[in-house]
Amino acid sequence: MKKFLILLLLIVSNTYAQEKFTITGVVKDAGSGETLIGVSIIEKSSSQGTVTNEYGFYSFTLPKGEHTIDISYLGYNNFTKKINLTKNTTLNIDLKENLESLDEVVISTYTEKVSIKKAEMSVNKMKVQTVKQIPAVLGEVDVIKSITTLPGVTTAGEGQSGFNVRGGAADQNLVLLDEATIYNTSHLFGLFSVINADAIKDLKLYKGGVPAKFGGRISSVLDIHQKDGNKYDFHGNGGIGLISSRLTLEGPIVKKKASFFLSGRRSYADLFIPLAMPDTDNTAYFYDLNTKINWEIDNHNKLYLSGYFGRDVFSFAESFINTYGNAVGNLRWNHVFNSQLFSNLSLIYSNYYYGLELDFVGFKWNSGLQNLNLQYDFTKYYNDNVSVNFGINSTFHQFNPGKIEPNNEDSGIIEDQLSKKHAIESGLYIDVEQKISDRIDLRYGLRLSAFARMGEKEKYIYNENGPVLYDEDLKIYEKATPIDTVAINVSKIQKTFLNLEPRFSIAYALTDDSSIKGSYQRMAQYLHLISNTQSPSPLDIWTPSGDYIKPQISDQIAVGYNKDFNGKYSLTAEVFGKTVQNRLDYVDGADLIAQEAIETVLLSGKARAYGLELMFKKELGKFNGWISYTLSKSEQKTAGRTPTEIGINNGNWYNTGYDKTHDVTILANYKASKRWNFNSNFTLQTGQPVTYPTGNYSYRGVSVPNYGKRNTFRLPAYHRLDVAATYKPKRYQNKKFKGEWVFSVYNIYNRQNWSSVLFGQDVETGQNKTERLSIFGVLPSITFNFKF
Amino acid sequence: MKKYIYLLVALFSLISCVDEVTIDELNKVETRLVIEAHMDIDKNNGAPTTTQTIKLTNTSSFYNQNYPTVSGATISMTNQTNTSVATFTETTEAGIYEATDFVTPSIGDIYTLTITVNGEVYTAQDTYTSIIDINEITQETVTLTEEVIQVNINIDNQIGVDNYYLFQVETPYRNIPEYGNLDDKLISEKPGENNYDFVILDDELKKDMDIDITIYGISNQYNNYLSKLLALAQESGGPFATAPATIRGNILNTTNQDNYALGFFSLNQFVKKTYKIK
Repeated sequence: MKKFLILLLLIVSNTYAQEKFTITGVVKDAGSGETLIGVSIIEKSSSQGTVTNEYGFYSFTLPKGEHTIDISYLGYNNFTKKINLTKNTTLNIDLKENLESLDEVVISTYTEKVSIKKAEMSVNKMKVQTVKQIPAVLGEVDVIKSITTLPGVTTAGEGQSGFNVRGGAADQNLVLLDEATIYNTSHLFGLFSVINADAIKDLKLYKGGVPAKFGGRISSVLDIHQKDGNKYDFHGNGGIGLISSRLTLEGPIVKKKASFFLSGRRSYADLFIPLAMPDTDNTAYFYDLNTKINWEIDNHNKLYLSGYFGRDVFSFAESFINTYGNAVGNLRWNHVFNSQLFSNLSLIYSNYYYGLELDFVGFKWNSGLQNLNLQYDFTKYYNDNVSVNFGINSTFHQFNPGKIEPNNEDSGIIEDQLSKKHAIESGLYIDVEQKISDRIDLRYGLRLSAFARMGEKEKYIYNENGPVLYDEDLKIYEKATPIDTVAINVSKIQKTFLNLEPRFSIAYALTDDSSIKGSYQRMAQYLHLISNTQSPSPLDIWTPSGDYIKPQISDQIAVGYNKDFNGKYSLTAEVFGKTVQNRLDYVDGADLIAQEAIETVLLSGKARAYGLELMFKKELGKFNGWISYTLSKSEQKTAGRTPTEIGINNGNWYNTGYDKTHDVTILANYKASKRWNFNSNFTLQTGQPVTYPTGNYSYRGVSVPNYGKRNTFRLPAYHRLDVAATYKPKRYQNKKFKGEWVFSVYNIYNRQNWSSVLFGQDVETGQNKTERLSIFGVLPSITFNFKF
Repeated sequence: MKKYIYLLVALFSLISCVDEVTIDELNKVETRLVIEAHMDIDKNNGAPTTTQTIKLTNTSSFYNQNYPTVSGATISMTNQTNTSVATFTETTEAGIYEATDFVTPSIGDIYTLTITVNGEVYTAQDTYTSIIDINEITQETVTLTEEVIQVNINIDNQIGVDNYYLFQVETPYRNIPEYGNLDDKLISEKPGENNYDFVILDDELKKDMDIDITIYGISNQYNNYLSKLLALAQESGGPFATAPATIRGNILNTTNQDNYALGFFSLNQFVKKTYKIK
């Protein structure tokens, strides 16, 4: 691989002999010194261009001579610079925020034009300002939920954790916060999300066309960038809402050189605990802490230290205590070797913890995972037509499937540590962005991923029939009993998987403002979150691939059409199709909680999804927003391992729990005046697939529903309208202090959406009954936000 | 774990809303034969238990609990040496088959049930499983989200065997019994450390109520079956519930495997006590 890399560098190096020079630099916000991601840098006469990377860095090679460079970024004033290029030049640019940017001022349309011609597809970007405009439950801005307004993204149902991209499962999304993996994105079991919007700069969602840099999940990558912190002045902002209060502080440590950022959010302690129980000591709350320090050593070296810590805590009179959350830490070193070679070295620690103490049963339970990741990424900018990204990374994972211990001396519980699991996941990639002509742009890459499952204390060995037994007579799957248990040293490899993951995208510009694009990608996923509930719960445990569980492999193709209408409107249409190999599903009646041998209740099958996505967007003007529509199908199939086995659902295709045929979102913002801003969001989608009883019988005096095939029925359609108004009072708009009120109403027409159905028996009459659980009815809220 | 799930649901219920609804799609039924054949033998009954019943019905649609009875079946039960241990005949009540010559089974022995109905033959086997006695029943008050009466049933987990328990609690405020099943994987069998309390926690327990507590000794396969069945029968659905499925028991249709029957054949020894709440 290394040889190949060097060879490629040589070949490309030889291709430019004529005299060219490189302009390089970093684009920043003039007010805060915050680096800006995705800024367009265009040479006017040739309309060749590039964009800044996730560290605000760009490199652009042009022939010797006079050039006009145009720099544009949505929400910022345009910046034009004439330059006489006679040598390699550093050009750091400070862009001024355009505070009137949402008015009908003419803004450069280059941004759209660059993205129209780039071979990047199935990607949605959102700035935090947009995220904050979307009306949210009880006014609590929700980063994760905001992406469900995009085409191809849904949640299984209201109040459920995670999100689903293009018919993929929630565990198939890679969620990165400053490059560190977040394993559970939900607070309060999915009612809210872990990311505090005040702490982030922007986010980018890859639904397809995923660059070779990313791996380890097969559905999507949600790449979230935290703010760096103001380099010039000390500032703060925050808010007081119905759910939580937030406070962010940022400022220089060494002016222009180093800055810090600290953001905290905490929900109120008595959240959801009724006042009717004043004498009891009950709490339910969550908090998040985001922090970052960055230090610009010189023009070529930057250091970043960032971290996140979040927890959910539930406690009922100390007899029931539940704590869970993520913690991540990340140290990064940006180094610019020369004007054409940019690099970033990261050391990332990530941890997920789940703890539960039940005093009345007398036990404590904890589970989780932690990992340490080292990665080194490079970008080589050869000329204005070719840039190459390459890098290497390796992660050491440790999984704790669960430890149970007595919580007091009287407890009869026996201490038990389920065998910890270990793995090393590595990747090596090369990714080339190449402009072939004015019309054709390519991005192609290859990722080699390797997964080594390391030793464990107690590995179960099964007989030749494997961990799942099939009863031929009764046609049921049963857990096999291990025939032996062996100990394997943690430093020993017990199983290795290797996968080559090719990635390819192409854009063909039909005109200057329209293009067609196509992409193919293969991705491999070695960690699995197996959940047998409708939505992942915090108890669910990540399981690594190994002898009994194979990695999931997905192949996706997509084609799309993009059209820009004078920079005012844009239309994106894409169709996609994907298949997944080795998608696991649990056998009928499987119990996954505290299951020490999860392989005994799982069968391997396949999944497929296909669909059409449309997005019509108006980004500028007083009135802006988008309409997105998705038509899709998501199914899975688990056939028997032998012809006589029935598999799951008789081996037929069945809907996944997150298959949504139609999904429409209309998001509209209206800036009425300097004081008032209005936002609305309407969602309509097909009801969630569910399994209903197809019969009922009595056993030992209780009524037992007899369920039919998986996910053949559907809940009624889901829809709601949310509105919000932001008011900026005149007296709160001075230089030192700015304040605003946000009034919002979630689900304004109080639609009782079906979240799930409870099947039960009235304990007094014995009569069977069905109950609809709906989570959020009409919810008005008020929030005060401030800045100083 | 169940209690934990309840607490989660309770948490949700404070911001959510539960309404009783009728779902039209539930009015259809896919008919299946249901065989309810649990031979329960009272450990401490002075005289041997000689009467046992087996119930044959068809499934009904979800809201309809008038289960169609199944008549005209021939039922026999044999022991390991293929000797008949009971003759079942249909009573005046359709679908109820009774034996009055039931021979008390031997602990650890395997018994076979054979039922012929509508021209198809169903068979099932189970092991007769014993139960220990209850040492004592005590009570205390605990504070969860409110003060709740907790009843403790003290037993000694049997040493040297894998034990599987089925608990049945009947209370005056419920028209249907409540069940819980358990294996002893996480509880000790060491002499001196094998003493356990099994706990009933219910905010409806009130002073002077009589509650009936029954503990059945059950086989491993019956425990597996009940784990799945009870998870569905006692409130299913909701955001954290296990995904539901058909629960197959140990009954095999030897004539036509695809036309399988629901239900289970089991032989269980039990102990029963009535406790008055103080």
